[in-house]
Amino acid sequence: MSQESQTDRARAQLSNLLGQAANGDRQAFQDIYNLTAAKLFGVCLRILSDRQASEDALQDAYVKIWRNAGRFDARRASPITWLATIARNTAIDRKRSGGNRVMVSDDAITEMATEERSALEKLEAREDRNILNKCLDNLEAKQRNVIRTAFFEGHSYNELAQKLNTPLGTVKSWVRRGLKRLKDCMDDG
Amino acid sequence: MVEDTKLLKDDEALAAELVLGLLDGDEKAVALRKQLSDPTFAQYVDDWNRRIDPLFHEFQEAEPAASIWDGIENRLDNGSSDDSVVRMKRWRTGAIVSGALAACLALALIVDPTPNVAPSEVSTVAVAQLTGDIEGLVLAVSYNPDTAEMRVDVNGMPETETAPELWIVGGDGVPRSLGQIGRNGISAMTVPSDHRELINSAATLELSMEPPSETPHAKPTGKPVASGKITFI
Repeated sequence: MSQESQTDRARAQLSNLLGQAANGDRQAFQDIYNLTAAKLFGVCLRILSDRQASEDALQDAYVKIWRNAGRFDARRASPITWLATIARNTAIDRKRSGGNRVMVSDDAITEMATEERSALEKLEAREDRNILNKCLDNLEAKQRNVIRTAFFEGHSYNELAQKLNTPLGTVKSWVRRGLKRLKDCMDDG
Repeated sequence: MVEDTKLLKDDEALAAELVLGLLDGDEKAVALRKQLSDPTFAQYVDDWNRRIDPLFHEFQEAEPAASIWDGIENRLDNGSSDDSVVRMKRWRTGAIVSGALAACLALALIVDPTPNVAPSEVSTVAVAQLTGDIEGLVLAVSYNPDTAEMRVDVNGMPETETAPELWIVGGDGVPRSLGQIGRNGISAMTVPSDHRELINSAATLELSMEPPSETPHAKPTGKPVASGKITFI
């Protein structure tokens, strides 16, 4: 329970800071940066696998966050997810805008199993994660792998098909069947 | 297997694919536009974001260089310190480079700017220059009918509470929203298919300032602040 109240407090703090940043409060924005930059940089690095490109993406992401802080809606998303989603999408856009094609090693899928607990992470509730992981484990391996690879590498369908040397239609079918089973499993709780 | 024959509703699958980042180009543009215009679809997107939310915990943290914050601060647009003009100039330079990225959330129509048609295959391009009463405000628009990609380069936009929204006005004189665009620099979008036929040499593009909105407005609330005729070259 204290874990949850800590999580709630962390969320409330970030949500409040985003509200203040939306009103032009630079100090609040800097606090947001200090609290979340390591996480968001980790997201960019994972997608782009290049420090310079990731630093550029991180800057772009925070400029977007500053300019769009007013759009954050605490009823629709947790603040850290909202921030990390912006970083992930920014990194994906940068990766796909060319000139920065990143080669990903073939064992990237197994690499993704590594997990490290961070200070911020410890503040986050675990229960949701357990349900998602349990449901991911219920998928066929190929379904789970394409979904996880898409998320962590930021690959499009076309890139996945190339990377896996598998026809596009087959990859789509794996993803969609996996998503269906994932949804059914998670909605059952 | 039984569950393999049961599929997600098309829109639920599309929402998940958008959330995972599987979509590219036109497909992504269509999905983003749908997210803006279709509350049910937007709900699917929120639902999928919530489902995969725990995956974000698996990204390992990494400390960025200390200089990154300075770079960000230099690009914030309402600097109040003495060197705010310098900051503004620096920010604009950065914004032109990153304009398409920076506009992404406001516009939500951003597509992969990588051209998927070789230059030699491009037969015609439509261009327009939008100007109005605001000193220094100029928009340069180019549109490729083959890819339906429109690029808008915004320069000289004053600071306002409102957001710039682009409209296509066809022969019937009715403005139809192409969505809100970035305040500075280049925004790229794929024009929705139902608006493409409006882009001809009889059409005008208009820019109005509107309340920030995630969805394109049905009609402009005020007079356009800039407008220009479309020319095919």
